[in-house]
Amino acid sequence: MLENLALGFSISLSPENLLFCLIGCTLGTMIGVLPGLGPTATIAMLLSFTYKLDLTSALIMLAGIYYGAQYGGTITSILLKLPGESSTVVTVIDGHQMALKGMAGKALGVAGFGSFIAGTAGTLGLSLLAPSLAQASLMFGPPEFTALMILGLTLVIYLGSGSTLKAVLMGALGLGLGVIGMDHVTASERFTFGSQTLVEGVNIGILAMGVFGIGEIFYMAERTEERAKRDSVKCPRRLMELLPDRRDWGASIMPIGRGTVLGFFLGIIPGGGAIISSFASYALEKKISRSPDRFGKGAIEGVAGPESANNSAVNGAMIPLLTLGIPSNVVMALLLGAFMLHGVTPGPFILKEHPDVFWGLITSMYIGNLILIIQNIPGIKVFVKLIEVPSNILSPLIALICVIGAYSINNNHVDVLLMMCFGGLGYFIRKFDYEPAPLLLAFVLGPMLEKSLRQTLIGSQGSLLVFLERPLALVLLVIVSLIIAIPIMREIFKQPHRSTSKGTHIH
Amino acid sequence: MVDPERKKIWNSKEFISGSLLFAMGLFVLIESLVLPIWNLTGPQEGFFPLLVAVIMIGASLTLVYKTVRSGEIRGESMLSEVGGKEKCNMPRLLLYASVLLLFSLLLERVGFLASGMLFLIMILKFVEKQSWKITLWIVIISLLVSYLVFVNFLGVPLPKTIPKLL
Repeated sequence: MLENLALGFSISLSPENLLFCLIGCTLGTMIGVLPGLGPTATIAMLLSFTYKLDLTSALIMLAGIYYGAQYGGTITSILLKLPGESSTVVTVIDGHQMALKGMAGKALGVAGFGSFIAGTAGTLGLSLLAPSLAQASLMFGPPEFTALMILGLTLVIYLGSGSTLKAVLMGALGLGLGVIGMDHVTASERFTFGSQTLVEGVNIGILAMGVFGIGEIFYMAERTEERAKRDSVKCPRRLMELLPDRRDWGASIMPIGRGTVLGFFLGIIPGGGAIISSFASYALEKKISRSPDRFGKGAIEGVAGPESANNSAVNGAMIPLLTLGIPSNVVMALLLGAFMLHGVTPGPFILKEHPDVFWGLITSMYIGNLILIIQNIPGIKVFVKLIEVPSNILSPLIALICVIGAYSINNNHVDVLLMMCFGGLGYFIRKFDYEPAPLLLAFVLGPMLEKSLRQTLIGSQGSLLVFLERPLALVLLVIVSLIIAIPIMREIFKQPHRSTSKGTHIH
Repeated sequence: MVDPERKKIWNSKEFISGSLLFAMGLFVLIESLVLPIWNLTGPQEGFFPLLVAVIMIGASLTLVYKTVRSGEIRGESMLSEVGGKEKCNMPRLLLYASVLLLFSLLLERVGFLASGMLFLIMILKFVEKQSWKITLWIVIISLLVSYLVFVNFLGVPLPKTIPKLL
């Protein structure tokens, strides 16, 4: 273990990787501060450029953007009542109340230190658990991988916000987009319509930039609402204002501990991640508090717990990606895309074949958390200034970067046009109230699922009974069945609403 | 509490999107049936797309059926409204999309700098109604930074403007 960490630090502490870690953390914090532009869209835009970089450097930077964004979102949640990230929405509840009472510094300090402790502890958990899980995953064969990927897709569909039916449709669409190109088994073309560009399949960078970048720009282009005025809160000026005192530590240390553990394990679950972790932590702290009526009025536990949970979840989410090659959320799917662009498949063999990548990435997260605490606590005022950049100036700049990114993949303007088409899809998704996460996850998992499923059926000569003969696969599929069946049973046995003869509902 | 709003079902987001996705599922089904589905060795290249098509058709039909069966649509489900309160600015969106498409088409013909400059000026000045001073500053800084970062530092071979003009 120590040898592995030493290897990792020797890679992550190189000047080049330190620079990329710093770039990722800074960019992530900036993105976190800016509402609307999240780590998903940013990583999507930068994905194609990472092809020019070494894989480890690319992953260090992209991971830095992800956990840096958690820090950045906290700043605006507390100071401006404006959650920069969806995972920091819950911090607004008590964080902004603390700021209104003149305790902005304490809120930011507790959030910052809590995030640092959780991030560091989460990285330690990742270091300890990931190698063991990678070893255990060697027992996985095609039936187990098929069942696991079906479980992952099912969880993302059922745990997401919004309509389940719409999530199923997005998942199916993602699976369909993953089919485009050359079949890896028979080498025949599918859904290419004679296009040479499509023979290689749809590039994940093109899809992600289109759906998240261009799609968002189209959606914002049709809206002309003015930005609402917000309560202004005095930003802390001195470093001492940001340091929690003994009493603050006394009230926060247990929520930080609980949030760390909760966030870490929720981050592992597909569809879980930072958002659910922060909400779950808030609910837990309020539930076990001796004075729950303080929540919503500036309770420090309401900041410490969720902020720790959302940072710890980032580390948890890395586990299924690195050990099984299965992304648990959209950002992990994009990181998987970065692996694929470099021809590396994360999973059980990554420890043996690419230990430098594995340990370099993990140790960079220790360093990244340190960079974030050093950079963000004194640099809060600078980051808050970013919020003043109007979105109507930011949008064309984002479009410019997306076009450059799309073109850089194959030096082909057809890719740019393809990205525009996916931009239309992204607009459709936003406009018609669908979720993009199942689409992207299904797109990434689809080819792997197809490969595992076909291998399973070829090996069993077409018999599905093979899933009953493999205990682990069977357990996973039973869980899938329960996840699908329980809401359906609830729907069937639900009391019908009383209706008038004209078809209106009475509540 | 009685919901007073009743709108035409076929104008709703669920009906329109469900119908479009049903059509897409049908298309995938037809295309996948052209491919071999199964043989003695097992599933072939048409098997998985067929499975996907069935899921898409089933889910979209269920969505459309549930929408029609519910009998009423709330205001915010209407396609033309954003957040249920204001109409969406479709001409602005179409203009934005057209300028972006023009940028994509001109990129290789006139090079990155020229097409990028045209794109930014059209969007910032004529769509976003910024002043010439702000527009030109943003154009100069963003193209310069883009060139330095992406072309010089990352080595992205963007189409050149000056050789094209010569």
